[in-house]
Amino acid sequence: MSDAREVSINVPLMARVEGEGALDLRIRDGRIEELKLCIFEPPRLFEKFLEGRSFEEVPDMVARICGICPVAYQMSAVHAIESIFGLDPGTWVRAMRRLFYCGEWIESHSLHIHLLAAPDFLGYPSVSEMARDYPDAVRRGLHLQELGNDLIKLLGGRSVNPVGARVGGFHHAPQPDVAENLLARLQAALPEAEALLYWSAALDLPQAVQDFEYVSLRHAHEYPMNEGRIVSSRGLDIEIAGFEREFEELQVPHSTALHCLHQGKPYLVGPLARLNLNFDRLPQPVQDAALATGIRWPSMNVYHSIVARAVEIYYALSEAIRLLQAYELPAQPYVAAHPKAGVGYGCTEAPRGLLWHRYELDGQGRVLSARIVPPTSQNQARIEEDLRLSIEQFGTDKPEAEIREHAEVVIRNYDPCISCATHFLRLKVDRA
Amino acid sequence: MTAPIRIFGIGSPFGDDRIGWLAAEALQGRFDPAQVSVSSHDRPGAGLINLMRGARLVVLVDAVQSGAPAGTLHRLEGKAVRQAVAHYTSTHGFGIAEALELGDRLNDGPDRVVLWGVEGAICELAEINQSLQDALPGLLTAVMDEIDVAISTMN
Repeated sequence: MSDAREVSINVPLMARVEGEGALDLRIRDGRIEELKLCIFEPPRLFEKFLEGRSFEEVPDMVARICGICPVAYQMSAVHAIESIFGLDPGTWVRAMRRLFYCGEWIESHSLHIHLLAAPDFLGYPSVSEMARDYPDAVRRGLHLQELGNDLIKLLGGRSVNPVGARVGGFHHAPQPDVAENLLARLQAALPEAEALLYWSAALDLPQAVQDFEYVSLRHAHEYPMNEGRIVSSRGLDIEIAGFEREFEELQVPHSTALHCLHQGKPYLVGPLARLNLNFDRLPQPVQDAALATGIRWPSMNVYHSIVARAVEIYYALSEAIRLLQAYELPAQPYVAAHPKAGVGYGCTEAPRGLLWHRYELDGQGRVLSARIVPPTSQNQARIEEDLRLSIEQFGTDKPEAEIREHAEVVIRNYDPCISCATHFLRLKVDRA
Repeated sequence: MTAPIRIFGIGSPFGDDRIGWLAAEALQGRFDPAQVSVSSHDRPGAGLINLMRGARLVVLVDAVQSGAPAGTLHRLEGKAVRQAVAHYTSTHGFGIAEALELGDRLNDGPDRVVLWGVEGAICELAEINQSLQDALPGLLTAVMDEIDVAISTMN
C-alpha cells in the first residue's frame, strides 16, 4: 500500500448504530474524493403504504416504522391529523402525551449512551467488553432503559410498537395504582439519572468544535416535545407548516433517504440542537446540574451530544415524575374525532430530533398523501460534513482499520436511527 | 415477566421477518401461564436482557438468513445461538447476539436459550413468503415439543 496514491476503504458492516446502512469512502492523494453515507429508507415506503388508509389506522401503522422511536411517529401523526379536524384533545391528553414522550427519550437515550456510544469513549470494542470493567454503569443504563419502556407501556399497552395512542388521545387510561407504582420507581431512579449526567460529562470526549446550524422546536414555556415553532441557531423562527418552504430535500443517487438542507447547507437536529436552543426552558435543578458538568451551553462540540442526552434523561425523568404526581383518572381518555378534509402538519421532537409529518385527508379522513421527514435523514448531510472534516483532521494516511474505526465513532455520535431511515446498513470504505 | 419458561416471537413488519410474530400469536393460550409465557417483540435489542432476566428457559423464534432454502427450520442452543445469529440475522445495532452476550457478562442471562429460526427470503415491506407460511405448522410443533420436554425435566 505504501506506493498507492489512491486508497479506497471498504467496511461491509457498521456496528453499534441502530439499523443498517453503508458508508463509502474514497481517498486519493490524501484527499477525500468521495464520501457517501448510504441510507435506505422505509418511511418513503410507508408514505405510499398509508395512502387510502383511514386516519384511525395511521397511528398504529407509523409506529411500525421504527422499533426504537414508535412514540415519535405516533405523536407527529396524531398532531397533524388533529390539526386537520380542528380537534383539541384537552389538558389530560396533552399531559399524557408528554409523559409518553418522556418514556421514549429515557429509553432511547439510555440505550445510546450506555450500549452504543460509551464503549467508544472508554476504549472498548463493545458494551460486553465494557461491562467487565463497568458493570454498574451498564446495569444503570439497562435499568433506566427499562423505566423508559415501562412508561411507554403504561400508555401504549406495550413498549414495542405501542398501540395505545389514537387520534384524540389514548385508547385506555392507566389505573391510578399502576401510575403510582411507576411514579415511586421513577423517584427512586432520579439520583441514578443525575449521576449518569456527571458520568457522561466525565468521559474522555474528543474536542470537535465545528461550525454548523442547529434546528429544533421551541415552545413558549416548556422544553419542547410535542409542540412549538421551528427555530435555529441562525435566527430561523417559523410555524411547523413552513418546513417545506424553508428546508429542501435533495435526492442523492447513493441513498434512498433524501438529503435535507437549510439554505443549501447541512444542519443538525437532535439532543444537542434541542439543548442548545432550549437550555432556558429546563427546570432550575436540571440547568444547575448541566452547568455543574463544566460544559458551557450552547456547545458547538458535537461530542457533547452524549452529555445532552444525559441532560435530557435527567429532565425527562423529572418531568415524568411531575406529570405522574398530578395524575388523575379521566372520565374518558380521548376526545372523539370527526373527519374533515384538509392538509395538516405535525412536528415533534423524536429522541433523535425533529420528526416532521404532513398529511392530506379526504372528507372521510382517508389519507390522500403523506410525507414523513425523519431526523436521521435531516442529519445525514451533517454527518457526511462532519466525517469529511474529522477524517481529514484525523489523517487520511492512517491505516484503513483506524480510519474505519474513527468514521464509525463519528457516525455513532449522531445516534443515527438507521432503522427509521434505513433497513440494512453496510459500511464500505474504499481506497482503490 | 415471571414465568420460568418464556417464548419470544421476534420480528419486524418487514416481510418474512414477521414469522416470529405469527408463531407467537399461534402459540398464545396453549400453555399454563404460570409456567410458560408467550410474547411478541419488535426488534427488542437490549430490552431482551430485561425480558430474559430470571428465566430458566428462553425460546426465541425469529426469521434468519443463512443461505438455506426459504422455510428451512434451524434449531440452535446456548453459545451457538449467539455465535450464529451474529452472522446471519440482520443486526439492528444492538441485536439478539449482543443482548445474550451482555446478559451473560452481567450474570443476568437465562439458564438456557434456544433459538428456533426460520429461513427467510424477503425482508422488505411485503407479504410473508408462502414457504414460511408452509413452515409454520412444523415450527409450532417443534416449539411445543421443546417446551414439553423442558417442563417434564423441570418438574
